[in-house]
Amino acid sequence: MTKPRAGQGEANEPQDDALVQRTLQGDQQAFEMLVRRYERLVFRIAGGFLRQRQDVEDVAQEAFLKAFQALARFRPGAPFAPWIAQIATRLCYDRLRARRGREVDWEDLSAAEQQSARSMAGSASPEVAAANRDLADRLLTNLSPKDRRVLVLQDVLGYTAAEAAQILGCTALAVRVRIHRARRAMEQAAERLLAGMEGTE
Amino acid sequence: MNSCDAVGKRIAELVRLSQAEIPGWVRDHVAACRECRGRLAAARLVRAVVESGAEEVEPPAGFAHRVAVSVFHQATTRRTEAELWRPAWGLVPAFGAVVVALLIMFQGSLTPEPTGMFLTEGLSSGEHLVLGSSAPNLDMVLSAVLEGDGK
Repeated sequence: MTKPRAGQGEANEPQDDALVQRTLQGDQQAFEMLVRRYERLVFRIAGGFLRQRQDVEDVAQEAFLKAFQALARFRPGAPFAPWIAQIATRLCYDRLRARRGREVDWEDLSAAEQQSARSMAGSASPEVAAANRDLADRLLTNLSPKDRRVLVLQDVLGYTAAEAAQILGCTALAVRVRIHRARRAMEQAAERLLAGMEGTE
Repeated sequence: MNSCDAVGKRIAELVRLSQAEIPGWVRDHVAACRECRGRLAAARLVRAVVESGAEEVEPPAGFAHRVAVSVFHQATTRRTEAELWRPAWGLVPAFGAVVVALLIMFQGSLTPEPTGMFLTEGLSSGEHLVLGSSAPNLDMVLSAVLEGDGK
């Protein structure tokens, strides 16, 4: 699990601040450069929360649109990465809130997802497949959007509690409390699901 | 510490191990203990779920250009619309004053004048009877009371 990183660009490339200023003056190419610099970060964050490629792309586009609209309020000298990460995370959170799922049972899974669950639960290194992602999505939707947000930032995207707290606008302690709760909730959901698997075998 | 507790404490470490790497005593215990088997399987599933979320989603080619064009187009459109409406906003106070004046002018005509007529339509027959009868004569009431010895 690698943390998404995005930097200030190479030495000969303009700094983020300069690109922000040029964008505010109407320079489209400067904004394009800014998007290119942070698109991987935004896609990685959105991809951690949302499993449908189209959703990920929609959120990424919306995140840059929102960033553009709020660019005049961006504090000069502040790092751009946490700011855009915060925007993207908030957008993902809004989507998760809108589509919270119900608890998933073994019978709800497709044959491919059941196969995936069997291999994930039995093997230490399962192969990644579309069914794995679908299954992951089903299990993650059991979590409250707030718990999921913390779990994804820390366990999926590899942010530390302090970094996650900066993105979420809360304390690191609050993040630690929530991540503990989220992990426990996931384990309980998985235990319940696998109890259904044992019942059918 | 019993075996279940020992497995529980090492669960985060155990999920990273392949079946062959798991210590023999854990394997034996898990094979016999349904609860620990379930916990270990669930922990592995959660780890796999979390890892499958870490799968890289690459931005499509030309994404940055498309976004920049779209964002600047929207900004330009919004600016044009704002400029179009700016003179109209100046007329808002005048429009408001006209609306208020019209309201004051027509307010009198909207209130119905009193007709002096009492409409009996829609009254029940009991109400007709009460409203149609004349008021009791006080002298007749008094004489009736006196003639009846106050009864």
